[in-house]
Amino acid sequence: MSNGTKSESLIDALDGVRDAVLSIGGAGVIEYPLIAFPSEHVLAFNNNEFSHLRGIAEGQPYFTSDGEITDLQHRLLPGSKVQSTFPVELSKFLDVYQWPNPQPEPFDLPTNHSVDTTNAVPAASSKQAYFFGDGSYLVTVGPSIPKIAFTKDGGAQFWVSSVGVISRRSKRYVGLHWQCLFEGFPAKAGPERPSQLLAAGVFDPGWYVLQAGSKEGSALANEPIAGQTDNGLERAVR
Amino acid sequence: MAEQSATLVEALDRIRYSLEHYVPHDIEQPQLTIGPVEHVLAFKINEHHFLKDADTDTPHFSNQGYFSDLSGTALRGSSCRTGLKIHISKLPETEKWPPPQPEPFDDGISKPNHTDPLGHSKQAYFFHDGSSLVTTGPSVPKILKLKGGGAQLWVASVGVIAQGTGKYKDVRGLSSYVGSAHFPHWPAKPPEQLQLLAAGFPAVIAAYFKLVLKEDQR
Repeated sequence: MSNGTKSESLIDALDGVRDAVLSIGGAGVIEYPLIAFPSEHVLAFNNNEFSHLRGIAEGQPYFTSDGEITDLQHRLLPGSKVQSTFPVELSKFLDVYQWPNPQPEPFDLPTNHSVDTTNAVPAASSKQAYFFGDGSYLVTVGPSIPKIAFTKDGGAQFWVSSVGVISRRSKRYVGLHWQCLFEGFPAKAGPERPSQLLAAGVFDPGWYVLQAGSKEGSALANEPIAGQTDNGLERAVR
Repeated sequence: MAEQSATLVEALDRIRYSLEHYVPHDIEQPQLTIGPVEHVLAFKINEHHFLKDADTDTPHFSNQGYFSDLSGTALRGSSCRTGLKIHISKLPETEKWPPPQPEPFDDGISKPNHTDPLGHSKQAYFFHDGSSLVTTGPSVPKILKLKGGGAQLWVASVGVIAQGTGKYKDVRGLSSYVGSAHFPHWPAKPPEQLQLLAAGFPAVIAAYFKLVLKEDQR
């Protein structure tokens, strides 16, 4: 048999099957080694966040979000926490309703040595902090694009997609983090006063994937966070 | 059946093992949607990349591949085409990293140094049923030198859906494309690095979509 499980009795075996059924896919598992390179860790998880649009009166609006992390089966990771923020430029807000032009073929070559970027440029940079139950954490920063689509029930679906580069991490993680954040909410109101609606707060489950270099053998493992710099990262991995 | 169990207990233990290592062989992730009309897709892509026009100031990655589910099982009939142009003058930026971000993390202020996109990419995904999705958006590549003399290359892209066919015709939504490649030996000098990339290399990508179908839009 290829696995290490050897039950002592039929009852033990049935209990094992029961437990396995209860944890199909592995409860709380966020590592995906089957799609990682040998020196790489791939993490994928979901966030349940609650977001508010703040700073409207001050003329500097931004989304502020807090929540918790779940695995991809939507099971909570105990002790986890996420915080993120995304500034909003009011002058560009209407861009969220605009979509790109159809892209010409071929899709694996630039057309006339360029790509049509209409309505597909970043609106701002966001930052995200992920805190895991074992005390590890990752902080990322990078460009974000928000979009809103109207739904037939009179509501709207809101998404934000971001690229995140790891800027801070606890001793468990060193390397790079690519992350995607999607926020969505089924609004009952129309889009006429979106800022008012968003200021009231929205619940958004996000989907994240991280691909990070291994820290194994790293000299950085015990260095304090405050001492971690770009050069420190390279020292650690070299 | 690949192998017959010798006892009932062993058979049950094998069922248990299979359940514990189960990954859904589907790209739809309904447990992660919000609202009544959203669809979430997640899949892995196995691609082969080439850096073309590597002897010019504006080379571009030209990539082709097929999909797998998140357990690595290939999805028959799938394929993809992606492309990313970069400017040679921006290559040093791929090895620079952002500064630590100040707390609090939810205050709207970030220090985005060294996170600017180095190019704009487009991605086309073709599904086994004839449907397709095409996205475009900014891409951020980074390279990390590894202690054995190799390197890890990552490219992450935000994708805004530009068009689709079949069941994805006229959908709206966003995607994220997160790809990586591993080089056991990474040359020290840029010309040799470009030569290595031009020779072609395998890459593994995770792609995520959140979208609303045409029939659910107004």
